[in-house]
Amino acid sequence: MITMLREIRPEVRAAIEATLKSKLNGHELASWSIEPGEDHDGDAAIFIELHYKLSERPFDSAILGAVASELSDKLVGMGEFRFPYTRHRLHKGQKFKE
Amino acid sequence: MIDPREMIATARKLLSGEPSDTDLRRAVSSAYYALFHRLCASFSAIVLHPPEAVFVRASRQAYRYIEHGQAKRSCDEVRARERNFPPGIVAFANSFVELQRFRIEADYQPTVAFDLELARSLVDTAEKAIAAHDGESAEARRAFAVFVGLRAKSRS
Repeated sequence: MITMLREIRPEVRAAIEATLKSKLNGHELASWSIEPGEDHDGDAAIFIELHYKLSERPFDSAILGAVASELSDKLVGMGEFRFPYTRHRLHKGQKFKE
Repeated sequence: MIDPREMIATARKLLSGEPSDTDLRRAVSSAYYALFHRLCASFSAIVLHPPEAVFVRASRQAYRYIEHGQAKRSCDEVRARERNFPPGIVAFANSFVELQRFRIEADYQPTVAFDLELARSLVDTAEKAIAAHDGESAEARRAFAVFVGLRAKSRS
């Protein structure tokens, strides 16, 4: 069990990547990482770090909620209950949709 | 009264112009605390309804009953296992867990860097989470406040 918590099943990783692809609304990633770990309370978690390319299209913050909801629903549906902590690292100077 | 929407407005003020590292951290912390105070207000409104201004100590105890760690665990339950809450409540629960982690980093981890874009996205997340929560029925909000505020009694 401990070994399982230190890993991310390939199908879970694939589901995370598919969600990102479908929910970023055309914004492109320069790089990303998906790592298992422990959160600030010592609970097993999945840490997702996204580095965005600069886009001329203003960033719509609704994407953040859409990604979080979709990730959570998908992973729970697969029996993956670790919290997917997602850090959206937007490019410096990225404009936001008002 | 501590108004969560004012806390969001304060966070936005901190992010205007050329914010310092401290401004960014205080904005992120305020974003989390806006959610936390929304929960505290919901819970105390159930316990003392209608609020009795004369019972100062009772009001204070009710408002301060919610604990960060317990609230996070309960919100994670709502997100992952207790799936009968409506979408706006689940979205709030999800954001609460996520923002609590960032608040710990902002307040206690000087080596973790924050930039304007990340801080802005977290303040937006908090604002949308409060709107989603407040858009659900009073019954759902009350049930959520009870679920988060009261620790389940062990049957053993």
